[in-house]
Amino acid sequence: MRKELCRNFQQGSCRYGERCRYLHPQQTKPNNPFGFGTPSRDQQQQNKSSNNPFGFGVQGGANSNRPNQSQPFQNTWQRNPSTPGVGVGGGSTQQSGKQTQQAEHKCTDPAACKRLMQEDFKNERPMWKLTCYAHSKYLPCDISGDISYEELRAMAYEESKRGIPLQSIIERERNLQNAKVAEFENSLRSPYRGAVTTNQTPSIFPPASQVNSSPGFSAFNQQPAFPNTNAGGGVSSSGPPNPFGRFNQQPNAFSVNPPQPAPSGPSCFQSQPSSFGPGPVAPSGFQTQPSVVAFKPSSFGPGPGLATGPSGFQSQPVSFGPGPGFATPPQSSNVFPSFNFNSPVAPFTSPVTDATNIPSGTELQAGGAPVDTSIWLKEKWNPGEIPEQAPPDAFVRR
Amino acid sequence: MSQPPPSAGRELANPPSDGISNLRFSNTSDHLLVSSWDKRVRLYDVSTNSLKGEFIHGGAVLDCCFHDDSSGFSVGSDNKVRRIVFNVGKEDVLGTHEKPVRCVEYSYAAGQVITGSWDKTVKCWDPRGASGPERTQVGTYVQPERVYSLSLVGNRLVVATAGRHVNIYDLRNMSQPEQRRESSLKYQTRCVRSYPNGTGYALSSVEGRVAMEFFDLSEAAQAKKYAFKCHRKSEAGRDIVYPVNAIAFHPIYGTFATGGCDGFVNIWDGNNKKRLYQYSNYPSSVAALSFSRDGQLLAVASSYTFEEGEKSHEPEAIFVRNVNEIEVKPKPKAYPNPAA
Repeated sequence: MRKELCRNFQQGSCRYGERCRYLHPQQTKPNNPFGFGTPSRDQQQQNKSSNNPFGFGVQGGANSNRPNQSQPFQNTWQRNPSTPGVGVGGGSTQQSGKQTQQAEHKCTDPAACKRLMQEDFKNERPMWKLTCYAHSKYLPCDISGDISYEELRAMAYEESKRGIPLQSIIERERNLQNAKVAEFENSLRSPYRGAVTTNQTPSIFPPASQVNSSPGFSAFNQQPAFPNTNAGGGVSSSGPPNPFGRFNQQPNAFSVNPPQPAPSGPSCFQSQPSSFGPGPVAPSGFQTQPSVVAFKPSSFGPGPGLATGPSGFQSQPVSFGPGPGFATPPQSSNVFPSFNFNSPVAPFTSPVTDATNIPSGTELQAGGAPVDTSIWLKEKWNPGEIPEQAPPDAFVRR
Repeated sequence: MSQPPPSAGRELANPPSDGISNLRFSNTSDHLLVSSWDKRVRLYDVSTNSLKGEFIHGGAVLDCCFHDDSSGFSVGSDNKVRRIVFNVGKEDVLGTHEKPVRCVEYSYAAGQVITGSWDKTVKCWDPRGASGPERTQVGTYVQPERVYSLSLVGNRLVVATAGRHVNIYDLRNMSQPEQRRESSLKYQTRCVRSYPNGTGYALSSVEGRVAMEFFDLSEAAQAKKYAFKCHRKSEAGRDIVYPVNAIAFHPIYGTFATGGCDGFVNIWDGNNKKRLYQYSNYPSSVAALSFSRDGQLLAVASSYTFEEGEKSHEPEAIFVRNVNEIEVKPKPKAYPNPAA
């Protein structure tokens, strides 16, 4: 018997009945998977059917037979036309969009992984940018170091309590966001080698970023963890101890590239307060990315009325993105450290490294020896050759 | 009581003056406990629309829950876990974490208070221990990451952390998780809630999706899991993807409501995989949801959650609406009559 749903049956006009070669809903398992108090009704679910009448993304791996996820289904939120009387109010038939079925993704082909990521970023970029990401369900994050809005808000409230001006707070947050976005973007650029992807663009990291985030921030120097965030894309949990250490945690599918920056060479990490070598470039706009900086103070609107607690960075809506996904300039992620205020270790311990492509080097800041520009063309650096400076504009942002 | 515009529900008087982090109905009455970023925990009597009690803490209160009708627990960014007694306005500290405490639940099965914090631990406390924090703490369990949400059902505890990790514990044996999982969603987890029937949990993320998962690891059970998209808006060919902040299960029907930053509340029938209803747009993001013990009322916290940073926003409000059966009762699809 074919595993497709019988369209006629759905419309009430199937002539074959039991003999029908397509699936009629009552053939599905009688078991109510949710047990939601519904007295043994046959479910509409078609466990076997690859066609998902509800347009839900069926996750059962076995059922996904579509190589790519973009098979839009008609979203059948509407009530069955044969029961017109159901007095559901306005909303129920208006579910917009289609529920696409997501196939189980296996990381066998880096190109496919990358394509998947690109699609995700293009179609489903969440409004909240400081998020972690995994291109494949159930697998650990490709990009980690997420921050919840509550954490951001708590930080901002803390800062304002200490008298940090609202502008700095916003700026710091903006930087954080930019960094994260850049991380996402970079993950697309780099050839996806399985594990490593994302994170870091060289530019972001150079110390400068730190400076950026808060010109006024004295707290900066205290933060050990800072750079790490970039590395793993996550704020490293505790300063020096390798973010890279975590790197190896990225298990499975990824053939992990040897963590670039030698984890043991923490020196790179900016844990040292001082080392921010090259000079923190203008705050915010971390150079390299001209243009794209999406954030403009603009929304800053209210001005330092700290009263209600600022928190939050510039709203994203502002231009995020021309580009493929997050188009914003990398911006230093340094902002992270600032979070450390209260505690030596950034709250976001997220494992760093998930994919660190390039920049692992960036973390190694300290100083900035001029490097051969061809270094920027390399996709992957070996420890020690990661440039400590931001790449020239030409290399940034394809 | 007079029915206000049916769309939003009745608005409670004296709402918090800053973001609402969570709200809960009591299991025994129509009292609503609300925790807020203005450092206060408030107890409302919904039927009379009055404020029955208020507690002020040292920092933003991030979560609260009831113990019984006269007391509850609250936790927040001052790192403390407190018991609050409503009638007498008393509070005492059960213990502390190292970092802000994000979630609190009371387990009737175990008689313990369970808290999750950004210090990456989940701690269990015995509220009867009146002799100070040293005696009250029953256990500390390290999590892979900062705890963002937790949910209890029966003897199971589900913990959702940053980095999309999910740990499932059996309360009777907390020495190690019963299961360790990664979220099936691709982005940051916002909220996790277990089904009232204890067979699984719903997990929501910032990418406008909710995943329905099951505890049973057998093939048959795992085949039932799925995820669906929600709280999205299509604009110019592209989706605006809103985080789903809150999930609340109807205690009787097992259907559930989700609230997102788009300001909508949707009611879903997880079993039949349908949306049952959508409440019209609330003035601000929906930060929290709670059904009353009989499922007749739904409290909605309309409070900007700062998902877009600093911007001018509507003031915080709590709406309590009467729930019509038709909005929450599952409706299995009626099979078409082939002879028709």
